[in-house]
Amino acid sequence: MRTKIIMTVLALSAFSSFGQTRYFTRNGKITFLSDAPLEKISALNAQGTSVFDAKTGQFEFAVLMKAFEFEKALMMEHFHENYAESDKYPKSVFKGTITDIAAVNLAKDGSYPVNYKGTLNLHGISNEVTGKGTLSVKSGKVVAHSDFVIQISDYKIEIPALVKDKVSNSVKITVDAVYDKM
Amino acid sequence: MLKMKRLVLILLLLLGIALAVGYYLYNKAPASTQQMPAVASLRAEELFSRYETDENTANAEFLDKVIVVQGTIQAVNQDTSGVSLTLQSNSGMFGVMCVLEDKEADLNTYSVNQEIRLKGVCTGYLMDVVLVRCVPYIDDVD
Repeated sequence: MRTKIIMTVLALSAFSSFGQTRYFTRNGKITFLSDAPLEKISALNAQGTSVFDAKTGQFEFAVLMKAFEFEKALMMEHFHENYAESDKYPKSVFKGTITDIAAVNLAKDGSYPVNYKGTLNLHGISNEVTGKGTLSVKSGKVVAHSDFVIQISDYKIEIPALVKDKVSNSVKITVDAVYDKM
Repeated sequence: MLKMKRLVLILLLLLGIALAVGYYLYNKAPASTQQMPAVASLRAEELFSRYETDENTANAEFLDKVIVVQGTIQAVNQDTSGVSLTLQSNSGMFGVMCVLEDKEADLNTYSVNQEIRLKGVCTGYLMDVVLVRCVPYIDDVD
């Protein structure tokens, strides 16, 4: 993983002629929400690491599954043991590209709507994800926000029939990250 | 007749207790790290280099375990989700990031270059090794 991230950083730096276009965070926030008829389950992970290249629009976001925090101990236990199998798959990685990065002027404060596409690896399964988000620039920092919905059955996570009113198959994932220049 | 009534009352009472216990267990918050015994104690530099050398072996030993880590604070970070302290490693840029259990921890308690011992749950390795639900570690607690 580390080698992968370092290689991504190197690959990204190879695309930019100056070292000025890469941004980084180690406090990226990922929340997920499963809103089933009988129960809402949400969790927050505020230790996502992410790198993105402002020139090419390429980015990578990685989180440790065990760092998701839950309100209830039982939910946390079930999440790790029955659904995410966090011991077996300790990380989740999203690798992608902001397809319209050219329209974003990171030198100018403002809020820019963007589109992205990429591959989300979760529970050992990779699927393509496309979505919309915003990049906001304020005094040298870049703030990224986006949310998208995944079907957890696409990632081979099964919901037992007994709890299908408590755990939703569509899970909303929200991303918030404040990037610093590298 | 009276006996019957009493029996029904006792059954209802038991049912009530069972429901209350169930409800309590169901809603229980994750246990505080303070009350959990640590399985290992080591320096941040060592923990980091163990992960850097062989992530899988380090995960087998530390992932999801409560550990005590001692080190020098490299950075203090606070945002809307809480407070985290990054302890130095020998890598320069990255280290052991410890997210505090107390989301309203007093930042004045922590400063860069301060030597500290924390107890927390190891969640693995991205660029930093990440520990969550960390509490200050005091010897006589365990």
